[in-house]
Amino acid sequence: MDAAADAEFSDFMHGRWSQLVRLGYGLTGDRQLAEDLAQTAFAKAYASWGRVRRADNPDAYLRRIVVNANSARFRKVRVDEVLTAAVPELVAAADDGECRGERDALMTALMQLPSGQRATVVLRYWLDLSEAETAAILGCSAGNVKSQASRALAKLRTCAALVEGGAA
Amino acid sequence: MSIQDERELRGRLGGLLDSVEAAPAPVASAMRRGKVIRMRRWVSAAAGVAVLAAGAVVLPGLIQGHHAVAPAASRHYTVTVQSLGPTAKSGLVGTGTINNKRWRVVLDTIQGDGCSPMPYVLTCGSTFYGGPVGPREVSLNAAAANDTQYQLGIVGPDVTRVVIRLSNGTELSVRPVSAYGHRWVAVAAPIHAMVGAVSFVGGSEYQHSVPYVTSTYAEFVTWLRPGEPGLPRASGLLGSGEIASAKWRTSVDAGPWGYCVTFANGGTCSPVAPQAPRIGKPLVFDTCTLLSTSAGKQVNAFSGVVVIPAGVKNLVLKFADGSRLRLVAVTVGGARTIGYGLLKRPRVVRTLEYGFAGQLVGSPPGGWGC
Repeated sequence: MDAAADAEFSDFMHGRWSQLVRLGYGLTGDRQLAEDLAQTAFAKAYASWGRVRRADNPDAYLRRIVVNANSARFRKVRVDEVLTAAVPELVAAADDGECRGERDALMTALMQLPSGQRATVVLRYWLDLSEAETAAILGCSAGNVKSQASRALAKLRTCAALVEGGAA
Repeated sequence: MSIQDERELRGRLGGLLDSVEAAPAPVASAMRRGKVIRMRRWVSAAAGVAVLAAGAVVLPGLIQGHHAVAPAASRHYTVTVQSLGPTAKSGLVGTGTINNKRWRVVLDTIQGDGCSPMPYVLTCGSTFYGGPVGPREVSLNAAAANDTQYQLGIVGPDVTRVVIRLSNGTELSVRPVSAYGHRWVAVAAPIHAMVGAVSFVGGSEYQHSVPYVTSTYAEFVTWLRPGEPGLPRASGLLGSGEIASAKWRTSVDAGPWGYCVTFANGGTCSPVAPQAPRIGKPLVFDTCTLLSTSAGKQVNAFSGVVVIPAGVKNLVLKFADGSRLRLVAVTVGGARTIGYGLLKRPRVVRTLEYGFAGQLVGSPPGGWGC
């Protein structure tokens, strides 16, 4: 790519980096992993930059890579990582105790959802995407998104972590 | 605490995820990794080409001659396309020669919606063009590698052929090839050689397109009916200003290809087709980007270009804090156009439209921002 295209990619990445890291964080609960996923997405976007820059919705492309890379991570985890009983330490911004407690509780509850439901929740309710947009990223039908979201919401309503977190 | 409804969940997720502070964007690292990915694709495709080339040596009679058009003597390249059957075999949707070297455009399922351009070989995923086109429409996408540029696209069921015109007078006529549920057309030519395209329905010309030529390839975006003139050629500065001490400027390059807009130091521009004027979201082009101040501080900006309807002279944006911003229109190619730069979430509550006599002709609600 020429220097102008590199500059364009740089602007593109700067403008979307934080949001993609936050998406990764919502999917993984781990900021380091989230940054790895986001960087993977941008590397792939750079590899196909000529096409990505002309895409109708390059953000959807990036989000799909993050979601897929996160799914692939689960497949790899069985081989290269040792699972432990302890919940990984969650990274949260410094804040007052009550807020942090609520955030930790919500993150714990999110991590207890199956990965598909978690991705649906983050895409639908944090990024505020429509069912159709969410379905396109997850590679499933809009009806599937609706049912996943409904199940996830039902679980979150009854999630002990949220109730206990709130009491903390 | 428990989640009772969707709105509550949205609020809590916002509190959780919006507070995550990301490290600075590792742009250089992402580029390095991207280059490695491209190199891997290149190596894997080059291996495939080597196998095919070996096959061509063994079975030279299988590759037929075709539909070549002699180049003008003043231009030093020769391009041909080979007629393929109505249905793609092994994903091959286009082939021919450039200066006697064979070029190929191949679809496969492994690439997904990606594309790997290399000199003389373009490999794209079978879902590369998932978008629908009208029965008589053509949708082309460009790619380039070294000195070779490609056009790959899908056409509607009524389109019988597409002709790509080259600068040396050659006309490459390609008939659609069916593959993966679409009708595809594909051509290759040297960089800068493509100067026009024509689509045919039955035996008649249906639409033509003048490309916007970037530093690497031609982009066919706007298709015009015979006799339809398209936008007159014009270019210039649409606007400039400062957002939180970061300077911005917007320029436009209009013509029969549509509009090509550049914001700040935003690099190359992609042309977009002319659109019906609509105020508020009507953007010929809009984007969220980062601007840098002279002190190196980065500012989140929302920028774009709006074409305003006849009868409206200028716009005034009214913000939530009561402040106002007057946006001045410039006539470009016969269209009254405004280039603007705003903060990323500008909180525009009302767009005031003023006519040429200074009267208020409309005040739609906000909708600006990204």
